[in-house]
Amino acid sequence: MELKHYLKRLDGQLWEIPKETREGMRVPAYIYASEKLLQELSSDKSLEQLTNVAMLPGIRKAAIVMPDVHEGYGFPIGGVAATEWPSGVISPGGIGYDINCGVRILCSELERKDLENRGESLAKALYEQIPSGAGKGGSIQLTDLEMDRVLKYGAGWALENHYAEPEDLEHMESEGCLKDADPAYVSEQAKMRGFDQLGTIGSGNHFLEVSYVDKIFDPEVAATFGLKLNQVTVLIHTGSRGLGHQVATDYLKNMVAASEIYGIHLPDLELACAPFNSEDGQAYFKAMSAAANFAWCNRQIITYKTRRLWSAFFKDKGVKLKLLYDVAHNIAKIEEHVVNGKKMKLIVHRKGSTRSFGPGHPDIPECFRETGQPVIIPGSMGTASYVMVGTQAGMEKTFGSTCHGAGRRMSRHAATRAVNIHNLEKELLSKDIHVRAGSRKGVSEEAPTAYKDIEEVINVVHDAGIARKVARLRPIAVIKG
Amino acid sequence: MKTIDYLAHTADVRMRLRADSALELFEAALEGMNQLIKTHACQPPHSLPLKKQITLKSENLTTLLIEFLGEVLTQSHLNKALFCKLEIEHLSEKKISASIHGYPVEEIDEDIKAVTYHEANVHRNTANQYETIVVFDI
Repeated sequence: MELKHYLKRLDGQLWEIPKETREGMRVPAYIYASEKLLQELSSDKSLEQLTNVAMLPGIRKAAIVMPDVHEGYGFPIGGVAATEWPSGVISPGGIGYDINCGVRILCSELERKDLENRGESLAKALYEQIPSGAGKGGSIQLTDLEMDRVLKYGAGWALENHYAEPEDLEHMESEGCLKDADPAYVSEQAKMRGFDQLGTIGSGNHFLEVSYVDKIFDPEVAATFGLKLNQVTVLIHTGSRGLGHQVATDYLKNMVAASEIYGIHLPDLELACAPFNSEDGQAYFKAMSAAANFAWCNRQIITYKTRRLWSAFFKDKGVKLKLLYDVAHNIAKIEEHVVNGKKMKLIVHRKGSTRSFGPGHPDIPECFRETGQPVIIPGSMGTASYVMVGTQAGMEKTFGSTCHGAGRRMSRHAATRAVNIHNLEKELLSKDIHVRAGSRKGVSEEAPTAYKDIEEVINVVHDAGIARKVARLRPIAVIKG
Repeated sequence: MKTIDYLAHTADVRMRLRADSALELFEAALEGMNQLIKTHACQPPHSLPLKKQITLKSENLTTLLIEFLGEVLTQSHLNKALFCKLEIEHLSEKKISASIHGYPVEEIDEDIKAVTYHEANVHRNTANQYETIVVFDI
């Protein structure tokens, strides 16, 4: 069945696959995309996976994907699915293995000219200080007791241990801690995998990037966010590392068995799920919350290390790095939204999708209540990233959600074959972009050509009104595993 | 005879395995995963001082294979090791009892996040071989 033939355009950027298209769909599938991006969708299994998601028990409104969508395993990457609380299902595959993979932006007091001729040495210094790479551990080695406190308190542990300032926590989604976390539901194996991974970036598409603001789209919101033209910023993109991966593995295994017990039959085992208010559902949610807390603590420790390095590196200039905001893009949250005119509590699964709450929402920091929350969308290596703002339209259309990045369009293997690494390195240097990476293969895999056009992706969500452009960032130095 | 083919996947790694027996299928799966973790690191044969015992029960042969690989991956991460050799003591549709033997490695090529159930389906193909796809999240 070629699902692309069933696509109906609902308005400028929104397409629908009606629920009658496949047996078992409980809601339609919605795709936010331009015509150009839609062409790319037919080359992988995103649409099939999306229509599978539309079959989840308790799902409301629609199974939705953003313009950065690509094929995943089970759920497509780049989507949001909300099930009715408390008896709708929770599905670990709707969050992913890298629980609370997310990104934060730090704002400096420096301008691009302050980094002239210093990009290379800054990249080198960051690479040496911030652990990155496959399997690499960091300098903090947690005892059993401390691990449980990290899992329970998230960024609160970082504050308690002087790795954070109080205002940092105010500038994180959920203040860097999900209160339902319970370390007792995290396996010993998961804790052992994570014991030395706080303060580490990992590998793949995780990175730390020093950038500068090269364009302001919304001067008023930018001023509220503290963003100025030519200002130097730092992006940190990473998640819960091996601990989160193990939690997801442990609970997906449980859910595969549990699905049988609850009589839930879905087309893909990676959609395995249980009712949220069941013992299995609650156990996963508590463990997922704990892993999410680990990720927030991880990003905070990396922030601490970056601030210390920054202070030493720029000792003759303003050295503050202020956290603007931290967002998760692989997570499940309990939220209230209006569906068919009725306010309801939902289990919102975001897998490769970012929360983008609009003005007035009580869950966002007071300083952003007038504008809406900051949304950080990292582009592919060497291209632009964006700071956007959440909107009321997003609350109505997509459960207050938007895209999370550029979205892959090419497999890693294909990218390695297609990319001439020497040309890529020359091209990056010609743009004064300095990359330090654990392997050249890793750089090839993350080349811009492997990703969709970030401008195209951003314009779709902007034009659809589900998030609005505030500022564009250009890279100066990138470190990755 | 067993074969391991790596197929295209947008963000992750998709592997197709074929083997003449279920036992060989498990061996092929282990070999295929190790090749991703660290290329050629199980050839030529190394001294394998580490030994771990794995006993698992599952719903069917497909989920058993995925969960077995997942457990080997966990042990690889926990021990910072590569487990090259598999000695199966018991293998049936729903249960495996085996020991894995390996050696410590300091660096790896690929940090596999997980072995997924996606597209996994152990079945007999037209040549009567055991065949399945395994997708790894990397």
